[in-house]
Amino acid sequence: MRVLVLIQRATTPMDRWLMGVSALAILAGMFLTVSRPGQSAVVMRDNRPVLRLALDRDIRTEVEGRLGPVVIQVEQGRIRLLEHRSPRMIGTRTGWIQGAGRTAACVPCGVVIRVEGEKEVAEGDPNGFDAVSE
Amino acid sequence: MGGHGVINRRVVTFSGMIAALLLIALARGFLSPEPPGIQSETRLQMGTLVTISTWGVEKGSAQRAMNAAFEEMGRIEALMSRFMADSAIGGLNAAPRQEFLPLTEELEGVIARGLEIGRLSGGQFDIGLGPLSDLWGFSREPPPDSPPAEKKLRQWLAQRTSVTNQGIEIDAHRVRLTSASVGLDLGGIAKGYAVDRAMERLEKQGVTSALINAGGDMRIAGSKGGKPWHIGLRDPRKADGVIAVMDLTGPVSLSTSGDYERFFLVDGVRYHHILDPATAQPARSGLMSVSIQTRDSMLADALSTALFVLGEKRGLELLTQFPGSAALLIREDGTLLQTPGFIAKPKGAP
Repeated sequence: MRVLVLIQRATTPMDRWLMGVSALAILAGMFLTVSRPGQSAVVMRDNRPVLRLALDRDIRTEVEGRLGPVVIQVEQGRIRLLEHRSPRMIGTRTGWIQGAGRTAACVPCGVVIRVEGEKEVAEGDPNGFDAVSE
Repeated sequence: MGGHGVINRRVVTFSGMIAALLLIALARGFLSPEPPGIQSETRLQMGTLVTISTWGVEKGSAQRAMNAAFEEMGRIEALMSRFMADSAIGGLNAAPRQEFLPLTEELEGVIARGLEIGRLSGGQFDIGLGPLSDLWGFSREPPPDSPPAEKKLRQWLAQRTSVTNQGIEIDAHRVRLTSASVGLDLGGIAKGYAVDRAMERLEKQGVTSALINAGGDMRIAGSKGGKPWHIGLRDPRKADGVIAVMDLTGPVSLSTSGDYERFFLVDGVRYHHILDPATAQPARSGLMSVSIQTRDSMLADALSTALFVLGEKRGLELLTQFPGSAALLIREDGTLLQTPGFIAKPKGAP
């Protein structure tokens, strides 16, 4: 309480407004530095990076896979692989991915895409699996 | 003077407040740092997608450990893949029958384990089905969309010599195949073995909490800071669906074999990649998938295939030969059978 009284005596309403704005700016900065995963994705061919794509720009592009071109599409912050016909095309089964650490792959094509950042598993999310046995 | 004093006091107080806020922000980062969470990496290895995740390990150390683990899996693939002509298995399969080739202690151990499980399964788990797998071609690109000619399957059946019955001979660190109908295919056991060795490499690097998932063959060490690893079990008939949930703390291994991994449909009949050596056809045992929890990944890998081929009754009899192993079977009608010791609950259950 003494601190609050001291602040009130030592500052004008404008000072307090500035302090509030500054505090909010600092807190916003802290929040943004720790929670901005999934801003880009890396495309790997045979475990080597061949392309990096920003997820904030819609694009449709191709990389050369073992069996021919593999189409990669970015839309509204999400990314997916489009095939090439193969039941082992894990990427196609996965569909759109978003969120740090998520992957999609075309195994026979040798192509993997991974959204960059530390893998996130939301607390309390029953579907936030560390892995799926299949 | 008095006016300057008030202004100075205000500037000092204002600056002090901003400094205090900054200090709080810094202290949040430095005094109570978050323990390192999950570090993970995914690579294509052994013909599948392999993800290694560590928990509680700083990024640089985790990366070094994961690199070592992936390297180990690559070494085993180069040794045991039947699709690599220069691998030990590729060389053995290509060699003239009856010709002895040298056998490393490591490979001898894996083959011996496969033969042991094969004998206990009455020959239904068979590591010598390379030529039959080639006939069906599930590993081909493009994949098959129709069964092989019936005549070819009958020929293979007529010539078949089981590896558990003189199809393979091991003698003083040498090995030979005795029949053209036999070719080693360690697909039902080598991936599990590689996962075991990869986990050893992680542990040697000081990692105590980790999960390795090699296309469904998993090995788990420790927990995530006291919380179990949260694993989903795929619904056999919904590609993106999960039918059960497993909260597992290591050490434990988990492997699932199902009729949905590689398959095609002809006139509503499902032809999948898990072959029954007694019929030369995809196994029709009344099951859609089998999951095994046990101590090591090689055993889990082999048992999930063996139980799938054997079916419920004979499969569960085989399971009793391996204390500490438990199974979850999903029957063709969608019902689940969970043996004691298998940790799982239906998805959505509290």
